[in-house]
Amino acid sequence: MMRTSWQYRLIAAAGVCVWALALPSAARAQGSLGTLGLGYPLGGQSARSLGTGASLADLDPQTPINPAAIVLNSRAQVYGQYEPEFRTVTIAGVGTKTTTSRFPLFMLTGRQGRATFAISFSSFMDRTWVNTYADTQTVGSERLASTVLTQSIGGISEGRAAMSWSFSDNIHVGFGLHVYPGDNRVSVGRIFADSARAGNFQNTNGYSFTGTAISFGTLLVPGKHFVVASDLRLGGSLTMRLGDSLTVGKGSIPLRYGVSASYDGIPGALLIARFGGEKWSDLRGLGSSTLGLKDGTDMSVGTEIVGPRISGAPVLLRAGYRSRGLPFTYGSSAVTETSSSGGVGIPLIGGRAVFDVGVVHASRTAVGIAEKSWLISVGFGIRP
Amino acid sequence: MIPSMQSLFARHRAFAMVAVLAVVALIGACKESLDSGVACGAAKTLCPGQNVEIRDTVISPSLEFDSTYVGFPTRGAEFLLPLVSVTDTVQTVVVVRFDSLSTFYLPALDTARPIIYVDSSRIRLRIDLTRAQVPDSIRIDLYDVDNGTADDTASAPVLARLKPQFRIGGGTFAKAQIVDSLYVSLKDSAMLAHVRDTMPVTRARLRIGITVSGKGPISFRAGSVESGAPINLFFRPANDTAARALVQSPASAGPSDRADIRRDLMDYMLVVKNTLPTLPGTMSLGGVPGRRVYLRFNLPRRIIDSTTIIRATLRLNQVSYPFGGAGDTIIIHPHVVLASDNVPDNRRASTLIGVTGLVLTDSMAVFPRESGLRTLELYPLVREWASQAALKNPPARAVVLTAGNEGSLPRIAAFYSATASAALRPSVRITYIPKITFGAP
Repeated sequence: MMRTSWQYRLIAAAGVCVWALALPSAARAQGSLGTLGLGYPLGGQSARSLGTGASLADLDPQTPINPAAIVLNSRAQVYGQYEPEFRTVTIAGVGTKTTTSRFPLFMLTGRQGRATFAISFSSFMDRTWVNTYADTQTVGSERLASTVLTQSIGGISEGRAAMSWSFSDNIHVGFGLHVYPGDNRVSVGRIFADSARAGNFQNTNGYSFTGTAISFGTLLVPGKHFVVASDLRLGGSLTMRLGDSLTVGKGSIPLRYGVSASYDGIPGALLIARFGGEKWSDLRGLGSSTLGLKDGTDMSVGTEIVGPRISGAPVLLRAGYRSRGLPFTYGSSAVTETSSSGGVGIPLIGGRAVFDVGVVHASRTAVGIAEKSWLISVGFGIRP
Repeated sequence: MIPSMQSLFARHRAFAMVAVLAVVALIGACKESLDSGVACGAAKTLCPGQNVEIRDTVISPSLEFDSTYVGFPTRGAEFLLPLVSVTDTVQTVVVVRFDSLSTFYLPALDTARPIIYVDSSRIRLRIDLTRAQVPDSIRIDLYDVDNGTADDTASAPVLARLKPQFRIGGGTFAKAQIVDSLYVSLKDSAMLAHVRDTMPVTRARLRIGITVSGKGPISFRAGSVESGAPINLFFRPANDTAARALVQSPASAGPSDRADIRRDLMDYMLVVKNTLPTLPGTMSLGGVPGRRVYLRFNLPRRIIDSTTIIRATLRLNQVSYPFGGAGDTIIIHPHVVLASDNVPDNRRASTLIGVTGLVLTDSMAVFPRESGLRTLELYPLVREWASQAALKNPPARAVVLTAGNEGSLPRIAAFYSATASAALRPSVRITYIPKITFGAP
């Protein structure tokens, strides 16, 4: 039996996936726990973008990075995303597994004439973790056995209102207004083994965040098979308060920039590359003076391949690879994250709805510490 | 399944599997598991900022004042009655009242008859030998301590009758005989005289004072009405060997207008002699009669009311007390004072306290003849004080120290008081978490 063209593309995509998934172990990447500092920067990537290693970040209308990209939505759309992360941290051969559930992205878009509008709500940094471990504590003149209970719930979110304007079919620009509300409750407690000599405690501090930023974006079609997109976010202030009044830190939303280019000259396949970066040091002023911050670059490549059709609409297969710098250092060492990803976009109801699944295998390592993470991103969009 | 759906899944089995895998993964993620504490335990640098600053300070002076109060438990409230004799130092007498003696007895298969003959008169002591001191032999004397007044509550007339002419029984006992029950003989003539006494006040009543003496310190305790093992009186009411002995339980007929005091006076302890010294500049607890210590604290509110107290240790410097054996011990219990400042009488306040183990669970054992630093943990109470700060009438920030078996063991522990020098007076070491910013990265 003759193989169909999409079957060949499926085999090719599978090959890309195998190559990409094998990269982290071969690359001996450096990294550490993603939850250091103010938390893990999710970056607002949609399931589709994650499936391509975030190379589509500037071209994907569901990823609230490039405000000009929302023009790629052909009509109004509601989009939501669920994204659990399965993380394993291994130290000296002992592994710890955690599971974190997130709903990191929600977006509404609509078009009116040459203008396209979108509002979105996404996770900027997720600082959710729980740690329970045995420790000793000097109390008075004695060291007492105890169990430490620490917990951080919450993080910083990002709300964006964006508008794009199409000057022509080949030139689109966008503008976004960003707000960054946040809430983070941190609890620290200890349970002493000898409760007759020392009292257990658990103290909780609640932090709130408020910040603003603006963003600009372009989406250009310079040639028949090329699309180039860029984004620039200029950060305003980001204020951290204890409770709702006492200001404990002031910094800025990091400057972010990025350029994506795509090529669809191969029939049924889209090849994408992106280069970007974030000036994480703009966060300086939030947290302690010893908080290690490192500006990071974000490089990714990916592909999106047309697969079989369901009810006349094509299924999209995705793969990608990404390397980026995380904002917070482990000690004095910068932390990078490499990830391989794959995904599929399944059209439903004749293309009126889309079901995107992105699977990311990320690796962060540091001296003596290895962190592996599986992130499964499931997005669902409806175009009424 | 409708045919079109079947064909759809048949054609796109791979994507159906993707959907199934995604659903399985999502279901697996429904239950979050966030704890990565094992990693923190292995590499604490992975978990920076997950601790809080803990401060430690010694507060001295920590007391507003201290007072030693004597006379606990109150007369008649003794759970166990101390029989103590330490040569030239401490002597106690246990008084038991039988104010309702039987004057008739009931022979078998016959009507009641007045008692005109008694024999085999004796009392039975239920003895508690916990922390007792008993020499090879001891002498127990029984005295008639009834001074003939109606509502007698005074101690002096009772003590005045501890003289040979009022001795109505007793005996010498070997150490081996001092076990859980001890019978002490009573003169039958004295017994009969009281049974047949027809005077209005003293009719059919017998009040016995019990003392111990011997070579060397003596200290043991007898059961009381409060403990449910009172001293009982036995006598045979007829010259008939078939007549059964009558058993008399403690009873007090006076004072007639105070039922509570009547009950207390069924049996009680009096101190005949106590020449133990009071050491200047100290507070003391224990002994017979019992002493307890009231400590009023004056700790900085900026710490107590606005921080998290982890540990609060009361540090007391013990003074060697020149009495008792080297192996004697006293268990000291701290008690929560329940009285507010609306009770200005601190002696009264020192009786309005929580039971042992309420809030404060620590205790300490000390040897009276030793000296040095002793500690008691008070953090649960100090935390309570902070939470009570908003109350209209909060309990006083005070603690009462009592000795275990209070008032029943002749052992005294002494500590330097608030008037002692800075190095010796009581202090409180507090470990606390200040209300500071934590949790910021």
